[in-house]
Amino acid sequence: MVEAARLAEGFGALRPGEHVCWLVGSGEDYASGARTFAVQGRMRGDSVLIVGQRPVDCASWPGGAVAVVDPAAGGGPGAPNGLAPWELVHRRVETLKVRGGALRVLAQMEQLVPAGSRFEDLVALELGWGQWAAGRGASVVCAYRQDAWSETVLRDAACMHSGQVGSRQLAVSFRMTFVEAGCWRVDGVVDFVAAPAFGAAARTALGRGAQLRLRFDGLDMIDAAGMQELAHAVRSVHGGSVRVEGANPTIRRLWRLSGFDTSAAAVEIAS
Amino acid sequence: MTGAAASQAPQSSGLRHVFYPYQGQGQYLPGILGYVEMARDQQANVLVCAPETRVNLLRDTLPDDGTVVFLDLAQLGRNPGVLIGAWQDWIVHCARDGRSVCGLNEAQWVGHNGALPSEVRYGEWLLNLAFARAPAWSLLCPYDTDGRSRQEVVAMARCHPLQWDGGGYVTAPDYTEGPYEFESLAEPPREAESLPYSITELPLLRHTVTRWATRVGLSEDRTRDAVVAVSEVASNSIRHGGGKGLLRLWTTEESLICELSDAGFISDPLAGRVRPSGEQLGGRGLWFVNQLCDLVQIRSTPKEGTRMRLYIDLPDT
Repeated sequence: MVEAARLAEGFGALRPGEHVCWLVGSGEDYASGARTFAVQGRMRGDSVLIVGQRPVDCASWPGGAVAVVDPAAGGGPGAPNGLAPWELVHRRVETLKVRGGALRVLAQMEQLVPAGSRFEDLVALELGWGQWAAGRGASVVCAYRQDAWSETVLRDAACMHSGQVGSRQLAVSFRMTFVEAGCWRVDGVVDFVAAPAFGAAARTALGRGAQLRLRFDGLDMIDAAGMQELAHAVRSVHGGSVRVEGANPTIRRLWRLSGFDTSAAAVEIAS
Repeated sequence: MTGAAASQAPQSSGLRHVFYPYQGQGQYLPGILGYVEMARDQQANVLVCAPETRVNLLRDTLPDDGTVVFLDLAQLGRNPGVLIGAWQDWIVHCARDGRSVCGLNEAQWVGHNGALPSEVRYGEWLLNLAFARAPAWSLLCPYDTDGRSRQEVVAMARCHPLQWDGGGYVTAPDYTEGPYEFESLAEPPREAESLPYSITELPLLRHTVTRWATRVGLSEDRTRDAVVAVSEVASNSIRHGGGKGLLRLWTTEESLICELSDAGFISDPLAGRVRPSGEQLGGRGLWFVNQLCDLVQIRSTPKEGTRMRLYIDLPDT
């Protein structure tokens, strides 16, 4: 009951453009939560889209029909044309005709990313959702079955969302969220534990556009491991460059002392 | 003369690290002028790192022909742990015309309840290691023996392979090549707060440092510096020091002190002392710690593990 109440509260508080994650304890929890998500949305007059398996009883849910895009239909996620998970999902979601009202999306993540995929594919999917949600004014909930992913992957994936819903919540060190085209905001702390996830996010963001802006206004600290990940991310993308804005004085000073400011890594730390 | 005469000719590589004990102002200037004259004979640039009163005196005395450069001490901070990196920078920036370098090292380090002198000496001793394979240069370290005990003078002399007798180098009789004999750290006071940590306590560790920094009135910037420094050391504990450690915090009249101990051993005495290149993998954490803190004391043995004591000066000290 507590989980159901917290979920209903969390879903109800979603704002347009928001991209959050939901740690799901079991199949039953997902079924119940998906129903709450859909019914609550439809009652508000919003359009509801589920990206994942079609819930078996969704035709009988009150409030009207929900749209479903099942990436696994027709060969499994990522299979057609060898598309990466986000490209496949994006293509199908973009062609979907939705009714009026705000758009609310529930993404069943283990149905979108094939087992054994690279973490970078998951990050690409999450950054894709984040940018898409902001661009469309849609709210997106990414549902992660806890038994389908490692604790590390769950924690790192949670960093790519603006928040979490439900009663099971992971402590995240940092959050990387979409601001505008080519610009992402990084909040919190990037220490050596969070550094690999931050590096993967920076590489992925650079892959979406080689000239990247990172807003560090809400970043309390980034340690030596985090700075190394940023430098390596820039070097890994041909022609890649990063402009960091809003960094605090400690970050600016340590970057100058890191040796990266005079190396091949094209990172500018704006004052 | 206090030792055997050493060659005055420029050596092919490495640092000539020269102790210049002098007694009072009367001896100071003649010795310095002799050193500068030698430098000019060797077509070397002279880089002067000295406090303002000394700089004023030397500006009036030394030749004004562009071969003497007065370094900006403002960038040096208060931690002798930054000395090696600072000289690395100064040499690169001031010796671009192919001339060799003769440095004058008279940085003034003050504060920290008596913990400072031993770290100043260790910093001097490490210069020999840091520049052993560097292009040839020399560094004269004037040291006023007035009011110092014989023990203090010998302790500083141990860190310098050569001695300046006012007109030339001699081999320093008290120089100790190594291993360096550290002075042991006094135990933390009983009222120190203790926090055992592993990877899961890193956020709590940072929160605890923030709480102490706020309590003692550190600025937002200095609080952040302290948090980053402690976080870097704790990260080392987790990755290289057995996965866990113990943080202890206390204050003195001058400093907030954060001591982190773990089971690891730092085998490289130059860890955190040398400016990293952009290409190197790792090796920046302790460098950052030295840059952020006002004093860093490291005691590390294979048997007893590592204790690292970080000092952040309190406001108005």
